[in-house]
Amino acid sequence: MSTTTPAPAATAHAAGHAHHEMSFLRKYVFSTDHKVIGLQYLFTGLLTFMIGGLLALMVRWQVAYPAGKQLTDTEKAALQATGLSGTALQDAIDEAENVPPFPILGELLWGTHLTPKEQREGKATERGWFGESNGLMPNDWYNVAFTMHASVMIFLVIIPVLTGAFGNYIIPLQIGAKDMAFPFLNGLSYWTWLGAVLVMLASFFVDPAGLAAAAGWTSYPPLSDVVTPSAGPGQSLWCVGVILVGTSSIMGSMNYLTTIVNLRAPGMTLFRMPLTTWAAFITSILQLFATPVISSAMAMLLFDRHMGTNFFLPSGLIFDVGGEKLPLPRAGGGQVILWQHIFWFYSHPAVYIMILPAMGMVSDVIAVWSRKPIFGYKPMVYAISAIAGLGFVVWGHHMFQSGMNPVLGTTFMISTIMIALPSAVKVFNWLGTLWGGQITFSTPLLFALGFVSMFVIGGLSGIYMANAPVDIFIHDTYFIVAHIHYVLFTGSVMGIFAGIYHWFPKMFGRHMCDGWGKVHFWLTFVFMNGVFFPMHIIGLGGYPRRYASFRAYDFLKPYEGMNQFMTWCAIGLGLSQLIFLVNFLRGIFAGPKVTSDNPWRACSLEWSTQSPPPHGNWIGPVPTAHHGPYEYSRPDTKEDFAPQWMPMEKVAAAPPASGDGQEPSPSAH
Amino acid sequence: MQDLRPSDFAPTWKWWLPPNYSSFGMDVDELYYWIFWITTITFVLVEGVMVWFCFKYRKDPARKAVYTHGNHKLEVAWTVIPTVILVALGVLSNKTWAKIKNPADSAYPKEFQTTVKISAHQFAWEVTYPGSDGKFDTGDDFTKTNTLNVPYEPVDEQGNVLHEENVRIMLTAQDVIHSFFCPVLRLKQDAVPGYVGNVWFDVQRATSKGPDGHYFAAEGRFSDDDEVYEIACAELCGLGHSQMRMQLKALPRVEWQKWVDQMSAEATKK
Repeated sequence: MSTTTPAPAATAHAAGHAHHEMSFLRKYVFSTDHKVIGLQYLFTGLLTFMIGGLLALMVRWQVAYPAGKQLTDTEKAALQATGLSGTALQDAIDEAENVPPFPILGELLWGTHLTPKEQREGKATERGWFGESNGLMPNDWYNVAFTMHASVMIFLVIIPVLTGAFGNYIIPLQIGAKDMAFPFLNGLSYWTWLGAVLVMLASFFVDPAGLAAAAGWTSYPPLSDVVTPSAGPGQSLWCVGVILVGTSSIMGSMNYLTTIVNLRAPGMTLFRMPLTTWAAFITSILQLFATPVISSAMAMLLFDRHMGTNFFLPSGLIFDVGGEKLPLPRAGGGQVILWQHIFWFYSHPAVYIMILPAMGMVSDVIAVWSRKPIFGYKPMVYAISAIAGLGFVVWGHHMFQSGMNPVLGTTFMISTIMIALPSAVKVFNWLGTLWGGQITFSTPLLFALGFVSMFVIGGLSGIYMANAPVDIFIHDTYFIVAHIHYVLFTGSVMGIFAGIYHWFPKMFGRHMCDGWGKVHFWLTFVFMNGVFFPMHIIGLGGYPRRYASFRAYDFLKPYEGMNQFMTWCAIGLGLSQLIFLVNFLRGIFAGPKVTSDNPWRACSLEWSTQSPPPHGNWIGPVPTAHHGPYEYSRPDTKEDFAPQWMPMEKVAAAPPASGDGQEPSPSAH
Repeated sequence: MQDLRPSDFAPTWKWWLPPNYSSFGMDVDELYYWIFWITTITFVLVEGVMVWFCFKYRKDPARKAVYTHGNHKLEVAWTVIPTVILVALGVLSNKTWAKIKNPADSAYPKEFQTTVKISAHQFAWEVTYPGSDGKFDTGDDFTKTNTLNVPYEPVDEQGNVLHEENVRIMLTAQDVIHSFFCPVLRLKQDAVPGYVGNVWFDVQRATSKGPDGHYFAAEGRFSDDDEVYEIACAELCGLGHSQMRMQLKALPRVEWQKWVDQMSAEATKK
């Protein structure tokens, strides 16, 4: 404690800070303190994570158990061959043809489920909240489920948790700033984003019941553009939601950039910043340049839908409504593919917005828990920058089969292949950091290693899609679904968990249970591979994504069993997160209190203040950065770490405070 | 001796690529296998090294961690080597890409023996044939729903094309974006409203054995029983997206012509 609690000399300043008495509402709700805002993002993000997860399970259930199952004659003959006949045979066929509804929710939403036998007997049914379809999900709602699953996960979970929660909480602490440059804007960014959450989720409660946006998270027009009588305002609400998310992102990123450029502590040069902050810095640049583009795309789509513009509508569209061919009464003149260019110009950089911050956090976690300086710190920074730079010139690889000029396909293929290289450099440097270390397998490190090993799969599978000719086959199949989930779930989400377990003691001044953390890790690791790995295999078989049912196609039928296996793994994955939830909540309210401000014996500045840090982050002046953030295991110091806030002579003379004895301790002594 | 290709080392299990019946599909598969082996070897090496390091460098109080900030030569090596491999792969793959998709390329077919128009809508494909006279917008044109019949391209045992049968599709959509996806031809192309896109293919295995009897008797999990190749919609197009199935039949030229003449005669009668 002694080294981390500043001398009482600084009380004048501290008094200045401690003395504004604030109401509960100003302090914890409409706060301008970056830590409170970060936690608001974190808690809201975990809540929306549960909603997105539930939607994922519903998607998976539909893929594995779509309605309309009918035994083939061979299968019926096989049943007959077991010696059944008459009603017994019919019962057996009924039993085999019964499609189970999604547990609990299925019957609540779509009415009582009757088996084929009960149907024949004419049993009474009850309507569900969303209508009546025998408790089974109708195809249009399946489209809602995967659209909203992706939208929630991308806009309401991963981006806000990585940039909003961790960016907010960690940046000022790591660079030695008292708060963000624009604290009010910071609070406004959270509340704007919360507006997006409410608007997006409200689209489940529109009329017709439950019909939120259903054109995929990519919302390609004309499907998303033409307002059909059967669809409600869900799609428009979705557009408004994305605009609000974008507005919040722009405010946040501007704030982070200004803070990092202007508010660094004395001695904190750019190349003394930890990689978490570097990643947040580069991510903010990406966000600031890319997000206005999607916001304007959404505005154009809204204008098309409600104000009669034709940005994305060509002339002469004809819709089949109830067997009648109805020309769309619109002047047209727009371009369908224009949307794809604008959309992907944001959404490809967005993929990096969703992975770079996790890469930064994982770098910090690996360095601390293997007691090693980051291997190739500057190459890591350059790699992040290269990913961000190249991220702006690869969007066309989403459009190889869209009908754009094939020469552009060549260009985008080469640029996309190039972006694999900085990612590879990062992986090699993580391995280099592990090399020769003193590795303690704590929960945060397990999640960080999980991130690295699974990101390798996501990165390598990207090479298949980057290759334009191979993409002809695997485009829009489950192969791409596997790829994106290896990057975003087994990558980003693992990174988020690593971050939560690692910085939990700093955020709450208490510890989570490491043992249960490990159980959480291993179950998550096994189940997520059970869900996502087979997606490569069915994708390789040509299984198209976004199919509500495989039953119309002979070539998809062999994959029924594999799909059911994935669905049950997904359920296991969902249930495993309950372990985390309990551990997290218990940690906050009843976890063992930290006895040191620096329990992991880490070097970066956030560990120099109290846990949780007070308002203003440091009592007294901010610390000075004397050297780089990864001075672990120096041969000239007694302890295996030299905190950034202590001059090297002082570290050598008086060893810094040690860990608090809570398991696990990364200390070698 | 034949040169070894990466596809010669392809795993032979059930859950794999569907059989391929188009000429360019073989090139696509060959590229796929190049990438497959490059990525598989990389994957095994990286994960192997990671697991080995985790085991070897686990916490041991008797040892102090190595203090190093990196190695410049290593950084250069692991940047340059993957760059060379991947960019070379990209440049080489461009040949196949251009052959399939770029009409300005020299490998793109010069001549199309058959041309059909396909207009996709929610949730079916309307295929318009030029009829007996081979010209569109004449009285003998006829349109079929979800039925694409084309002549197949006969090849001999060595894989040499006996006579070319390139099929061109003038592809568009009436309402929303759809995508023409035929797994056994390794072909996918979006059908975009307001725009007619050309796409071509050949089918080197007939769905029914014709009088000239030539086709690859390849073993496949698809379509061998009912003898149609399935074409799926691969771009989300609304609630019937997963029902938008078209059947492709590849017939010997003589039989195909007979069918066209018959349909044209019916269309003219009307």
